[in-house]
Amino acid sequence: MTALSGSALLSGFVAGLMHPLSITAHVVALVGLGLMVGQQLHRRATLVAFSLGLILGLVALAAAVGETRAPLVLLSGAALAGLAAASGWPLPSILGAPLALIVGTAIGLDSPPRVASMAAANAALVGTALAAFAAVAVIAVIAERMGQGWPRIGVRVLGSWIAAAAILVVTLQATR
Amino acid sequence: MVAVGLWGAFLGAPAIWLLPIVFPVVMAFGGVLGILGIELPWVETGIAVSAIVLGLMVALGVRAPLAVAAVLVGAFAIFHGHAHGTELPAATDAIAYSVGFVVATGLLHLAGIALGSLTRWPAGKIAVRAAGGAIAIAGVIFLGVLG
Repeated sequence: MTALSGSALLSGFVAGLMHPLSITAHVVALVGLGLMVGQQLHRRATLVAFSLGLILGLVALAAAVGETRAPLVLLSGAALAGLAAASGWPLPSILGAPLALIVGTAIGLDSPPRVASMAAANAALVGTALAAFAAVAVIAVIAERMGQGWPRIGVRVLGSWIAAAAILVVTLQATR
Repeated sequence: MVAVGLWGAFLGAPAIWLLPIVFPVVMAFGGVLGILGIELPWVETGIAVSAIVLGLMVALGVRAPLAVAAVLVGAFAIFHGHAHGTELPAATDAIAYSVGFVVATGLLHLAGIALGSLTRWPAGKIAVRAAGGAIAIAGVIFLGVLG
């Protein structure tokens, strides 16, 4: 591997890392999902499902799947996750895991790498998967550590903000 | 928005935390009506009246039952949401606009709750009631401008 290709791989990886953290819709979905996961009693299945969804979406993207309605699905999932977080009801895994799978897949499909080479594109996809998973896991841990009382109410308020914003944009996109 | 937080503080738990959670979601429902082009009569008047009514609730220290407070605030939230939803299609970045106005709404609620926490002191209670009166007067002026 030359220094040049190594540098291209690294820049592709960093671009992939930053992608889900720089797109507003992705941030909304990741925060909503993280808040929802943080309130779950059993969160392992949901996190595994999210990881699988991410891999599925990114593999489909690498296989040059055509244009999809991923942004609409992504925000619909964000709205549901936000509502679950706002309700304060720990979503059971049987509902949380499929939702996480769908959101993960949509994030993957909505993360086309904007790099020159195939190797850098693959590095970008890996970066996107790592950043998206880390974001949900970190937010889930923070939400879980909030415990009861005012911090827990803050989590629910944030969930209602996510749900409200996502519902509005989903309606707008669906009617276009 | 500030009046919602102030009134929540006056009503105490669970209203103080329930209203800021419910308001954005109900407001989104109003926004959906606006985006879908479903006409709602007297939206601007409804917003002005909401400032008057909520301001008076705070000024008079009305301790309404939670169900009554939730229905009242929810009805006004639909007017606010409808106005925002109608403006949304013209916004250049819909998601940034939506996140921005929902967060701004929520922060105004929190500002109201923080200000409302002054009610634990007698002088603070007077200040909060005065703020409610000022909001009601602002609503009357807004209504006059509309007329």
